[in-house]
Amino acid sequence: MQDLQEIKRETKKLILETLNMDPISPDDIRDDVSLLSGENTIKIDSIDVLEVVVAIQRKFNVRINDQNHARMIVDTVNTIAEFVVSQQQQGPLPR
Amino acid sequence: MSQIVFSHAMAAHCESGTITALLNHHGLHITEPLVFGIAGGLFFGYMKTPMLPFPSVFVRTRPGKILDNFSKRSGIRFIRKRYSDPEKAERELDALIDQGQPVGIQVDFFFMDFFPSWHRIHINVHFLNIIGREGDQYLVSDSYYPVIARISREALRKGRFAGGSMAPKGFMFYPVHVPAEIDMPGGVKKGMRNTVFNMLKIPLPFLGVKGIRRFADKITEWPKYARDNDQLAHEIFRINILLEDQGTGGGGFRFIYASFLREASGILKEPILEVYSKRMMAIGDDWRNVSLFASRIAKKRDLGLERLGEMGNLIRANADLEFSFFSDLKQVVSNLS
Repeated sequence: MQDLQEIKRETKKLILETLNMDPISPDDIRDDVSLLSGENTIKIDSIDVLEVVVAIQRKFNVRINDQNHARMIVDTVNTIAEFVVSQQQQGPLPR
Repeated sequence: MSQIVFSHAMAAHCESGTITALLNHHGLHITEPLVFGIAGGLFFGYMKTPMLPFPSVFVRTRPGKILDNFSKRSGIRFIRKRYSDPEKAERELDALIDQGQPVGIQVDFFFMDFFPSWHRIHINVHFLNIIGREGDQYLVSDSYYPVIARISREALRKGRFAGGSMAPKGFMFYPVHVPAEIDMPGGVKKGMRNTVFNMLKIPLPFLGVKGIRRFADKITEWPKYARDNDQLAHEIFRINILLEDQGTGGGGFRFIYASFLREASGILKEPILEVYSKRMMAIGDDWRNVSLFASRIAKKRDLGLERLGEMGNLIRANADLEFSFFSDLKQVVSNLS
C-alpha cells in the first residue's frame, strides 16, 4: 500500500497530465486548497471532475461511482489522497 | 430551538436518499439502492416535442415516482402535501418540526445556499429533509451535503416555491405508518418486473431501450436544432450533466441499480443476480464513457457529424447491452417463485 505523501505527489502529476496542464509544476499545487474554487494554482471545472475521477479510478484501482461524492473527493489533493488510502485499506477491487 | 436527532447520511440520489434517511429515522433499516430498485427508478427516455427547443434525455422515472412506487410496494404510508400558500406551507412545516417529525421537501437546488456557488444550478426537483429550526433558520439534512446545514427561512421559501416545469409548490412528505413486517422479497420482485417492463415493453419508440436507440440515431441531427456551435456544445455537455451530475449516482443511475441487484441477490437468495449486478456496473461504466466523450467534444467544440456519429455508436452499443441485459433479467424474474 502506498503512503499518503506518495499518493499526493502522484495525484498532482495525474491531474496535470489528465488535464494537459504541463507548464505547471506539481509542487505548485497546494494540498489543502480547493481545486474547484479557483483559489488554488489550478482550477478544475465540472467537466474536468469526471476526467479526474476516471483517471484516479484507473491509476489507483478504486471506484468513485457518485458525482456528488466525486465533488467532495476531488475537492483538494488531500481529500483525493485520503479517499484513495481509505479505499486501498479495504483491499483491491477485482480487475 | 427545535432540533430532531437525525442520522445524516450522504446519498447518490436526492429523492431515494431523502426517503431512505426518513425511513431510517423511523427505525426501518433500508438502503438507498433498495429503495431505488423496489420503486423501479431506473428508466430511459428520449423526448423531442414542439414544446422542447432541444431534444431531452432522462434516465429515471419522473420525480416523485420513487416515493409513490416505493410506498405502494412496501406498504409504508406517507402524507404528501402541496401548497399554493407559502405561509401555510411554512406554518405546517414548523408545526411538524416542533412535534419532532422530520419532513422531506422538494426545492429548487439553486436556492440551497449552503452549497458553494459554483455547484448550484436550477433544478426544481431536488429533495432534502428538514430536521429542525432555530429562529429564522432551518436545519437541513441534504443527501448531497456532507454535514447538517442551515438555511434561512427566506432562501428555503424561495426554493420551495420556485416556478417552472415540475415546480415544487411547497411539496412535502413524511411517513405516518411503517408496517411491522415488510415483504422485501415481494417488493424486490415487483421492482425488477417494473424496470424490465419499462425498459423493454412500453410500446412507444422513445422510451426504454427503444429510447436509447432513438437517442443514438438522432444525435447527428442535433446541429439543426442549435442556433450556433456554442449552443450545440452546451446541449452536448448537458448529456454529461444528465448522466453524471444530476444526482444519478453516476452512469445514469446504472451504478445504483447494480447495487440494488447485489442486495436483491441476498434477499431473494439468487446468486445469479450478483452476476447481473456486475453486468449492470459495466453498463454504468459504458454510460460514463458516453458522458466523458460528450464532455470532451463539447469542451473542444469538436462537434462535426463524424464525432456525433461516433457518440451515436457508443450510445447504440449501450442500447444493445441493455436490451440483452433486460431480456436476460426478464427470464430470471419470470422464473422467480
